[in-house]
Amino acid sequence: MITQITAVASTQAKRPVVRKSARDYLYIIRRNLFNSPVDTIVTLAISALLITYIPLILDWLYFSAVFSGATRAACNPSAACWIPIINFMDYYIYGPFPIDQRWRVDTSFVLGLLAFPLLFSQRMPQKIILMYIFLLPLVLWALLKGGVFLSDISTTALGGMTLTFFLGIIAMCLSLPVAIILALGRRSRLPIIRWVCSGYIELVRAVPVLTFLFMASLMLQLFLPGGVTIDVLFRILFVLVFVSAAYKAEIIRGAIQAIPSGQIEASYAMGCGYWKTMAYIVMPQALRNSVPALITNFIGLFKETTLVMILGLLEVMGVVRATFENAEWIGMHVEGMVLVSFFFFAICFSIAQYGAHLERRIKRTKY
Amino acid sequence: MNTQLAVKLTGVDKWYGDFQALKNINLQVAKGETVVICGPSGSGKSTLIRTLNCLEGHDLGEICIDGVRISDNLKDVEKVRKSTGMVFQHFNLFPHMTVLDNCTFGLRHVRGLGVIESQEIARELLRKVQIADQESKYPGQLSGGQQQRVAIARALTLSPDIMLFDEPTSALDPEMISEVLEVMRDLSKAGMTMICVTHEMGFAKEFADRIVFMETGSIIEVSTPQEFFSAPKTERAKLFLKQILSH
Repeated sequence: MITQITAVASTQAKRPVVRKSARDYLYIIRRNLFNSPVDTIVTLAISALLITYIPLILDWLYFSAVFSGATRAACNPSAACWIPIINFMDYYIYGPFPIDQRWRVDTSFVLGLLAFPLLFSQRMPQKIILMYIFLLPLVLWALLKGGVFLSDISTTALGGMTLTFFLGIIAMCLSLPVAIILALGRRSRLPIIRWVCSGYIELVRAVPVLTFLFMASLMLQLFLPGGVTIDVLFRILFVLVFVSAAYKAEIIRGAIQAIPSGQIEASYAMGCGYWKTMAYIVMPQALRNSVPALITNFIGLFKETTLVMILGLLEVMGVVRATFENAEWIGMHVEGMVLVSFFFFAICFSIAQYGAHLERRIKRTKY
Repeated sequence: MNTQLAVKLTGVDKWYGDFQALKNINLQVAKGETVVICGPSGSGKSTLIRTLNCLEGHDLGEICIDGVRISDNLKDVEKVRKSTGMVFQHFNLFPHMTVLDNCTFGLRHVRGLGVIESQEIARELLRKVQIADQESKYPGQLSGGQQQRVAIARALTLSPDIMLFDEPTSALDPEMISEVLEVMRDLSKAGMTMICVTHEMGFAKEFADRIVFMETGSIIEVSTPQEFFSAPKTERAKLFLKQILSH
């Protein structure tokens, strides 16, 4: 007996490998799906539903759907008709943007998408990534709205995915820094700063975004001196940034409060000042802890850009709906909404994936 | 002002609301001296040591560190904090930075040194506390004793004149206490001015120049280790020693 024990101790014990056989799989299926009569009924019912509907959905979406043709006559009334979607794709992407200036949209798409590999890369110094993120809104504005180096594009010429992308990226990039300042302000030791930030957050959180958007588009003009106008796009961005910043500020404040006070004390004890302590000790830890909540907020913000449709700006949902007001294609909203869903899903899912990547990366440095 | 004095407290009082945490504290610590502060829990030891680098403010009296009088002036606070290094009970290493980055942080962001120079200084100190081989690990990967040694190295990076230890071994497993005490012994031998709040009576006996015994916010006894351990002046200290040494 004793010799056996020493033998085990001396050779590194290996974790035994268990290979699952077909029998094991059958057992797992039976245990999980057919364990009781109720289980069996539920399993069968769900299977029946899936078997009936998945082929119907696929058939509608693809197999019986019509992809080419010129008029409505070419469509199959019992399946999707992708003809208008395909024909109007350019319009969906660029909106009414001047055709000879479309390279500007293409460039900004590329710049925006470039942020992704940059965010994912681990070798790139953080300073460069931060610089990129801060400059991106300015560059996008200059490219898509013009006015500085390039010719000015009227706000009505921005539409479709271009506008959604433009609003989404700029609002996302700018709202985080504003949120950080608000969160720190709400914890400030100076009462005035604390009251202003708290009051702002409470007010903005308690009023619907739509109200602010309407106010930005209608009411602001009442208070500005005659003749002065602020571009509606700017006003909308302002609302999107400052509303979502209030929510993010609360997420970040929660994360700051979760940081042990010893962290701040250790930094102060070394003679580090408030700002450096916040920038190097508190914020890196707080932002890491708030990644899941912040990513959810970013996704929500991106989808909130559809609200600008109410103010007459044709973002992606607006342009899609517009084509189905067209006499030829009237009433074919379903296909359009499938496209819009797909568009938003692709982008929001990518953001979520980035969040998951961040969480994995953070886990590696946390024990 | 006597330049040989590292720390001078005159009539220091501190309140937390209606609770008086420090009562008329008078204490002078000479340069190069090792002073151990002990006493039952809640006696104000930690509060006292935390007022010395302004982590806690005091309400009345005067505290001079290295000749600088502590006031509300941020410049003075910064000066005092730069001349003192602090080691905490729970280490308080920065979990999102490697051991090396923890030690270069102060050099880079407080002293404004470059990366390479700070790393050289930090590595030298990590070698001193015998943990140089762990420099690229994160604090969470180290044992408690190792973390506390890193924390001591980190506090030393800014070459402080005075080291403050706030129960540096209380959160450690018994087997790790000695490695931390060893580092503290080396420091004490090298002539560092040290003020330690600790229950390690062995360390106090061997290396303290003086022992300060506190109860309910007051210093009730200051004596040399020989006196303190063989013939404590107060009944309270006798009881404390009996309890702490018999367990």
